[in-house]
Amino acid sequence: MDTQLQIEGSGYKVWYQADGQTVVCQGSLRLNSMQEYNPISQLLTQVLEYHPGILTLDLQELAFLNSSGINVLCKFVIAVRQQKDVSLVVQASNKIPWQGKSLLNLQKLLPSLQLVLND
Amino acid sequence: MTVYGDYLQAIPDRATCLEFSFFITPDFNWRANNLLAQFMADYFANSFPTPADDPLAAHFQHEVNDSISYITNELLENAVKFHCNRTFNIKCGLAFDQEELIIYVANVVSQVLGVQFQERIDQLLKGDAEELLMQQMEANALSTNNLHSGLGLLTIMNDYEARLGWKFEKVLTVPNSFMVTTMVRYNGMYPFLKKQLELVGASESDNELKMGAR
Repeated sequence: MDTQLQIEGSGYKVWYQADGQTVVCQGSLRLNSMQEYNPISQLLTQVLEYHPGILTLDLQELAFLNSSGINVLCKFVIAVRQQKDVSLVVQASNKIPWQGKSLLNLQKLLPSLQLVLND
Repeated sequence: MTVYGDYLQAIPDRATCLEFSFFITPDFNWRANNLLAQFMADYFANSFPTPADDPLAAHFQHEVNDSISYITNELLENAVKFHCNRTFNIKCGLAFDQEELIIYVANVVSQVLGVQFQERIDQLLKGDAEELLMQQMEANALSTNNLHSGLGLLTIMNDYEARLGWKFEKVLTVPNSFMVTTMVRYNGMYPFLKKQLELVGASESDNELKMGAR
């Protein structure tokens, strides 16, 4: 079954840029329960199946993420950890306070994760 | 009535308090949680003077706004998910004074869920927040059918370094249920706030002096 590599909903957009091997998340993600996050989880799983070598997760324009969304990122990071042939870079923004607080947890799950906090 | 953690029974008299009460309809719009959370965050962050030439103040204002928005949204999402009686309103409040900011949300849960929640609270209070958070993240990764992440309260405790408390009360008119109030006590932005509140206080004193001189 094909997985959509672009998901757009009310106030958010998530897509995979194959040429830059980058998953971009934009807007505010505040979906209800893990079930509503399924399409995004499937997109992330699909991208890992491409064995991209170095994969970038660009969150610099993700203004809000609820705890269900944080869970999706955690599960993804743990999947990267298990895959072993993918290096993950997370591009984040210092201008969005939650990112400096909660994204550090991803590094604890995957110490090789490169977290870049841009101004 | 049973109280857990850092629950503050009496909100200080001088605190500014903002409280909302709403009922849940079957077609409740999930986005309303965030609308309310963001309103409370904006209200609080705009309660203080922010001098245009003070980038640090603007930075803290932005930071505080973001924190209140996240914390309130998490409490509201939990309340809406587990509220079990549509005749009772969910209450959500914000109170603050020079010492701290308090956010609380009250809802009704079934007795079964209430007892499970009390056991969970016991774990949260006895354990180390960071350790519990990492354990929960790892456990979620192994589960394929968990409907709830269980990360909301843990992120509030660990990432936002806030203190939590709970009050459980029996609801006489609804058998086998509890009214649960979850309270978050947050002072992550002090001493910035103290400085801004002193500015407000000084300005109020000036006004009182001017009024008195008339």
